[in-house]
Amino acid sequence: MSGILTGLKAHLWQRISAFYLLIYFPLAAWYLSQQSFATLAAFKQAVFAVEFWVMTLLALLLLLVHAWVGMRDVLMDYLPRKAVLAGLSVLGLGLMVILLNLLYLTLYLMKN
Amino acid sequence: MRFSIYRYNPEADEQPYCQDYELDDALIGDEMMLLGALEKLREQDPSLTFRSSCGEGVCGSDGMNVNGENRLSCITRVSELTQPVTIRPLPGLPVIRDLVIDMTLFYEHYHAVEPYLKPTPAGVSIDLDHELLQSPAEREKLDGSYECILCGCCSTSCPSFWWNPDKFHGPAALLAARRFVVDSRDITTRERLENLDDPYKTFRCRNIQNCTASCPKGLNPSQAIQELKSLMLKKQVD
Amino acid sequence: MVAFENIDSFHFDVVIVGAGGAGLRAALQLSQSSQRVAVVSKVFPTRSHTVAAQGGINAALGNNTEDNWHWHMYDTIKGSDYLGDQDAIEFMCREASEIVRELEHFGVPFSRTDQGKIYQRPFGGQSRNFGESQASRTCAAADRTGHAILQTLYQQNIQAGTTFFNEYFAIDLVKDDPQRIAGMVVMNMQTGEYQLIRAHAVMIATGGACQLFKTNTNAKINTGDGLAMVARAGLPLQDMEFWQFHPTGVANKGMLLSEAARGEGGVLRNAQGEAFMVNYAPHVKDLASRDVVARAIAIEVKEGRGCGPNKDHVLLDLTHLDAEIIKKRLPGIRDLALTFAGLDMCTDPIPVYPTAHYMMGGIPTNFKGQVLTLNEQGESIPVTGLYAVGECACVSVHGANRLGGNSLLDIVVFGRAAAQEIDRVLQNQKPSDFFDQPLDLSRIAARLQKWENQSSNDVKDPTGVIKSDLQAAMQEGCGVFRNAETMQALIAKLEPIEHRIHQAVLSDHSRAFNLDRIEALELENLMTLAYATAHSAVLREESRGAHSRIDFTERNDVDWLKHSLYFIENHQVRYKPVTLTALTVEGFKPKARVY
Repeated sequence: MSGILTGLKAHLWQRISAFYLLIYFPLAAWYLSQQSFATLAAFKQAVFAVEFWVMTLLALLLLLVHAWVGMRDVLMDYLPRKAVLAGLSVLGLGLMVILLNLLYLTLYLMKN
Repeated sequence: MRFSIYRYNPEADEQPYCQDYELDDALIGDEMMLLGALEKLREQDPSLTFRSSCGEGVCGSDGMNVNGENRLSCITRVSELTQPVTIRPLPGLPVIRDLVIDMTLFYEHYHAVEPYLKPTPAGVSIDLDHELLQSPAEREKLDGSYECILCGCCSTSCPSFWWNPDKFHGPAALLAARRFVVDSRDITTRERLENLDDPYKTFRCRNIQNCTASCPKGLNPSQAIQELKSLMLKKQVD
Repeated sequence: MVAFENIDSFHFDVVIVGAGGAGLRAALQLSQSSQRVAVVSKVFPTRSHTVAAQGGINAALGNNTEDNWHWHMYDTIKGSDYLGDQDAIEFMCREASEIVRELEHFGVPFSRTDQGKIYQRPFGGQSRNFGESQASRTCAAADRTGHAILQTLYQQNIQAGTTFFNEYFAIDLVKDDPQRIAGMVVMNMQTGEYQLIRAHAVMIATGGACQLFKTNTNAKINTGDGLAMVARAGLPLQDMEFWQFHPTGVANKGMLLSEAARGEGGVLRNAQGEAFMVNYAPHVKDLASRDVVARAIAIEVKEGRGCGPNKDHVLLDLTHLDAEIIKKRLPGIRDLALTFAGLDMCTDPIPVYPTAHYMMGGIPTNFKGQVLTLNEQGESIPVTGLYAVGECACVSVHGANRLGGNSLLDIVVFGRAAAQEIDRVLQNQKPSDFFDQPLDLSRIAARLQKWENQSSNDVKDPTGVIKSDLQAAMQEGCGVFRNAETMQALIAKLEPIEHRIHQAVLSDHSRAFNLDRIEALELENLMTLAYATAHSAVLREESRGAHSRIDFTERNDVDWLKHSLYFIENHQVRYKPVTLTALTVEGFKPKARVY
């Protein structure tokens, strides 16, 4: 598990994801503030507009990456050395589940 | 003046404890350094144990934790300290006796960054008829890292080093690594950077900056580590 | 009981005591020649006192002004007041350029000229064309040259794979026959255990001993342990009356402010603000030899022209220099003055006074580092298996007064030369049964046993107090100026002090890191050197270099152009001639010394 995103690469991905999220969140807030949420349909239309949804999906993916590096660092720092591998596995599995859910949601939305 | 000093003698004490000492104010001038005060306390109690040597802040023997900060006792004025002066060994490494700690791990990390110049490919001998040329600007890059005295104040103030003292190189060793990475005479910059690319060795650094705050020589190991990271990045892009 | 029947024993080809510049340069050479080397040091190597050397290392590279080794040789001989051995001085000055370039290749971060070459600054006693004009011969890494060299040499030893015994205290030399040194007994300071290190060659590189004086620029560890070990082994100590007082220590404290301060343009001033050195050395003024400047300061103060409320110091003035130059070229000593005098040398002159700085004398050696003694006929003969390099050795390249920048040169040149000699000797002979010979350690055990004695009541006379008394006595009796009266008084004081050491007991008897025991052993070593100094000094009835007598103010080449050799037995002092012939050039004949 710790073989994924080691050293410099992890550092790099953490910076890239942070940079993207820093841009995405204000942009998303501004975009959503311009939309009308009077009906469910309007809400759906606003949120699932292709451009915005791609950006959001990317943000969610990078959030996962960011969480992986950050949480991994915390676990490596604070867990007893013997428990680090187990901790990282649990973290990895958890993030994997979220990732699968996201993929499912995307496929589901694309179908509809 | 009152002092509270960490005591531990492995032959006599099961647990470390703090002992209170009193030093007559008349003995303490305005200019007395903490090392001088400790020497006076040793006249009261010759069993009080600490390292010291040059007495002027260049040998790095007498790092200790004074009122919560890592400092060199020989360049810390007693008059600037609040009472009672609490003195403990540098934190995070095993204690041998009183204020004397076992710095083996600290030195091992220093050795691990290969802190020696490699100006020629392996097996090629050096040319003793000429010095390697280095411009004043290139030489200036070494300022801020070659001055390190290996006192250990930085690494033992670093929480990342406390958590992973066996795997994280720590600020002092990384400062030494940086000194050779930026030396224009060294031909192994790429290998050096590749060796440092590891989640533990370098990337345990969280920019906490305790190292920079505690350096008695006014050096900036934190910045040096950031510089190493960005040099690795540059190397990756090249 | 201290018993050595089951003592742990280590076997090496070479054991070196001391991990300063000399010991580390030698260790590096031997490790690279595939000899098995152990370096024993009572502190971690980078804490050795070489670290405190500031100004630089001399070599006639000619990077700033035209230069050659022959001029360097002349200056060194003149600086030594003609007591230096000219063969060794020629050897050192010829090796200088190559050894400095080698250090540069090892990684020493020398300051640079605009052409990218090693920066060189002027220092005291340096001249071009045999005294004609000032030279710039001192290669510098800002004002941290010693630190830079020591760290670099340690780093090279890491690469070479040298074995270090850090925080081991050397106790005494061991012989396996009366003429041959076979190893030494050491103490692991962290555990208090005694151990035996046996080796085909033993090298002493324990540095200086200015802890003998009350005010000094030296570290606490500079207690001359190696010299005392050699003296106890029945071998002589040479020229121990010559101690250099550095002109510019921080007044009343002793921290060194490098000669580089004057090399970069600093001036000494008395209470009237007068730059007084012109009266003592009209030609080179503040850059005269150290003995000359130290005496000048002492005279200014003695004649009432001292500064401050007690009129007890003079001022080192750099305020006329560009602050940027000071910050760039002298950052370390600016820091020191800020820390210890509370003054910024960019804007304030700094109070200074001469302080004990360097031991010109030491263990007599030739320029291959072999330790010498005298035979019955009074001829110099080498001691098998024993070598000495660095400040603890007396080659003698510094004679009666050392030039600034020559000490760092001395340690690396002779560190390397002695190692090459050992390597050469060991290629031919490493007797396979060498380590099987039984050794007699009983005398060493008896000496250590003394410090195991327990006291039934409180310790009345702690060794720390005895040490302060010894330092004060030495300062008074053998300071910048001496005469028969003060030195006889000193000798009279030394006996009761020695008696107190015999009576002393330790209050701390634990094994782990027992500073009380280590300081007691160091005090014994200092006591030996105090006797060596006092007895050698009182007999030398002349003024030469750092040995200036009020009752014999002139140099006397007819009777005293010779080295003193002190033997511990009955405090006997014998003599041997100075070598006045060089290796490949003509020797310089003694003449009046004017700066």
